[in-house]
Amino acid sequence: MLFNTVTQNRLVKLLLFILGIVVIAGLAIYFMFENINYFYTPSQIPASLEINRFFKLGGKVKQHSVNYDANGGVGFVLYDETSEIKVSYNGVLPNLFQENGYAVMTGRLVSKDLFLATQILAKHDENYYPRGVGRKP
Amino acid sequence: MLDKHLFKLGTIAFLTVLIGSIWGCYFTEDDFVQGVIFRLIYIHVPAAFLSLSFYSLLTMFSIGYLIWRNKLLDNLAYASAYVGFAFTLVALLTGCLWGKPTWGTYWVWDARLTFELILGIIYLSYIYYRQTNPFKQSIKFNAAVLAIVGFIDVPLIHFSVNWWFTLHQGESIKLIGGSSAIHQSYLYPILICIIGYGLFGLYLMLLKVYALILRECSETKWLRNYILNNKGVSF
Repeated sequence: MLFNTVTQNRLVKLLLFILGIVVIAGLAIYFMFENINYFYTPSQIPASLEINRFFKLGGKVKQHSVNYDANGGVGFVLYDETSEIKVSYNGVLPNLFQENGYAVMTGRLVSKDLFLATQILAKHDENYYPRGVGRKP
Repeated sequence: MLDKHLFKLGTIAFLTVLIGSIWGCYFTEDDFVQGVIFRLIYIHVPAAFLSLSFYSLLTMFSIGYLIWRNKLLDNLAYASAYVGFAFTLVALLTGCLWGKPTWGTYWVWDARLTFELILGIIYLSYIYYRQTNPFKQSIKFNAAVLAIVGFIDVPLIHFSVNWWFTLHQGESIKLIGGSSAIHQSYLYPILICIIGYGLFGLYLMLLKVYALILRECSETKWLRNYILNNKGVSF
């Protein structure tokens, strides 16, 4: 017989165990939920964050805001739905870094609205479409 | 007789992968944003998807073993762990290779990548624990419990791009409803590759179950007579 008393007992014990695991894991994830985020978006930067403290920032690069200066540095504006921040960086930009694209960077605030980046990574969204099709909205 | 059918399964799997990969690599255009390098998607996405599905198989077989204590369920669990671990490694490595030219780095500690690495570690610990003594009953029990506890990682990986801000991009292929963020000409080869690699993983898994059963019977007279009389097992 497939589900006699012995197997039923085992099933019940197993389900209780799984419930316990789910509860414990759920609580653990719930309490550290905010810390699993890889970066802050510009509107999420805490107002109490002191200058010169390293953190990661991510957002969209504002169009027509990328400026290259003579020393090999670059400045641009990073924005999300509600706020934006100026970023300055001296180093190699990744291939996919472009205006209207997304970027994630590590660095620190040198003043309330200037972020000095030490590493910039380009982020691409989940859309894949061939070159011939053209820009998908 | 089982060898013949397994061989057919392996051949079908290999041909499906070949068709999907050649279609994807030679008969589609380059991606608008990434260019040529996105073709790694035909290995990376099937491997990542299958690493999760083989872990689900592992969990199901472990639950079945804990309830019915059936040796076949346990062998199926052990075999699926091997295959799933291989897919996890492939997903991580192809992901690293894809990340360097696109993002600019081989690795970041964001949610999706870290949880997938943790899945690889869980797989590895399951296999390592089992192989200390492949025949002991208590080890089979404990390993099944380990597999079930580790299953909490699978929805974390799947939903990590929706729940948290990550460097890894969101879902391109929507499993349930909605339109996919990936163009049709890319979608079909990817699906064919997923099916092909899945069948291939199934083939490897069944081959491993075959080997595990034979190993359990290695002391029996019938197997020894068979080997002595037939000069080895045919394949």
